[in-house]
Amino acid sequence: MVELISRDEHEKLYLQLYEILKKKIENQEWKAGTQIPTEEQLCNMFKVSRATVRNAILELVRQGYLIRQQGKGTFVNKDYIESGIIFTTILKPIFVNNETNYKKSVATKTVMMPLDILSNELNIPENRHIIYIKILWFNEKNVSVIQESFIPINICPQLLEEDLGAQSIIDILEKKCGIKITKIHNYFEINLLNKELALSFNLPENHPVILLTQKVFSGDTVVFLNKIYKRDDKDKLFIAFQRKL
Amino acid sequence: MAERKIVRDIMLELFEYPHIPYWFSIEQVIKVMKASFIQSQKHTDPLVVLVFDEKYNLLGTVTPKDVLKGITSSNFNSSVLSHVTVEEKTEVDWNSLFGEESKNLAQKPVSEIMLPAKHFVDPLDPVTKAAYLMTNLDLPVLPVIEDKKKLVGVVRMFEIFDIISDEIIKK
Repeated sequence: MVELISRDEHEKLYLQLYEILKKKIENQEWKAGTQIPTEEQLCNMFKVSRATVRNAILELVRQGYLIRQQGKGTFVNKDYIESGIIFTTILKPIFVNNETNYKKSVATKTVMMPLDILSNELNIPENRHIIYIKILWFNEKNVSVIQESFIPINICPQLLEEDLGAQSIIDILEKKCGIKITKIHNYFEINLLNKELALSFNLPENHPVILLTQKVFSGDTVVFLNKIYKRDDKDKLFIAFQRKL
Repeated sequence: MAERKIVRDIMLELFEYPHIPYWFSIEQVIKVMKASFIQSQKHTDPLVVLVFDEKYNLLGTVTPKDVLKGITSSNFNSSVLSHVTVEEKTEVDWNSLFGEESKNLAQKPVSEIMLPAKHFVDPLDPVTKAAYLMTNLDLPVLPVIEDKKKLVGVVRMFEIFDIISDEIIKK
């Protein structure tokens, strides 16, 4: 059954359509990985203009519900969590318990080229400049966490000028560069410290630490990559989830 | 006259050239050069990579020539080269020039082979000053620093030559 759009409501048509289509995905009427109807079909289904359909779809892509594949069409994102209880979390500058005890020091803010795996993870060519930021997080006198961030320069060139001591990278991307973060993929693994990181931690080379890799998206675009190394000390990596009411 | 032209008129954007930090190894520089100069359909001459520190200050430049010199095997006896032109039968083992040792040498940091950035111009400096520095110091590119602190671009010989040669052949 097609849910109708109300033309009496003040809410913009595309936002109404966005909510209707979002429900189709959340209710699994449109299943993960399947192709959705074409723009023309949606225009006919909801008796709205192509611009309205396009804006609604664009927003669903931005929010991570849909992905566009060049020359193939628009599909329901397989990574979209379609079942289970939905919880929310708050993005904090650092994911540890006792976060108030942590102080940060920006050790590096420079520009480089994304070689090898970085180019793949950011989904950009190796000849595209990226901003590289390294932040040391101290609990008391020791470095407890090292955060390495890699941001394609075209995403937010202003980052180079900004003071990172008082604001987070995500805040700058959202507030100064107008980038809306729509999803973050988190990967946890054990990492053996290389020489350079070992030196920063004041630990021996190959010492094991936890590595949390965060791939941060706006729609389908990876806007930056975070590599967060946590050493073994009295604090732990900590992420709180709260039931979505 | 050429003196009327200033550096700002001819300088290029920094992002025309690849950037690397000083702790990159020579092997990593080689990969950057291959991706930026060889595999890429578009690159800006001359072939040069800019080397920066942690605070995005320019430390130096590195060219393919610097890389090849940096990975030249120390086993290669360059003294025999002086005989090559005069003694046809002198045997030079060219294969030893970039042998197994070069792979080890490629693990050195780029800071050991780069040309340090010691000379700069201001965007308001005359082009003639840039011409003098580049010709006398044999620099691949010359950094442009604004207000004595902010790196804003680079100049290269191509534009300098174009402007000055125009003045010379002008009737």
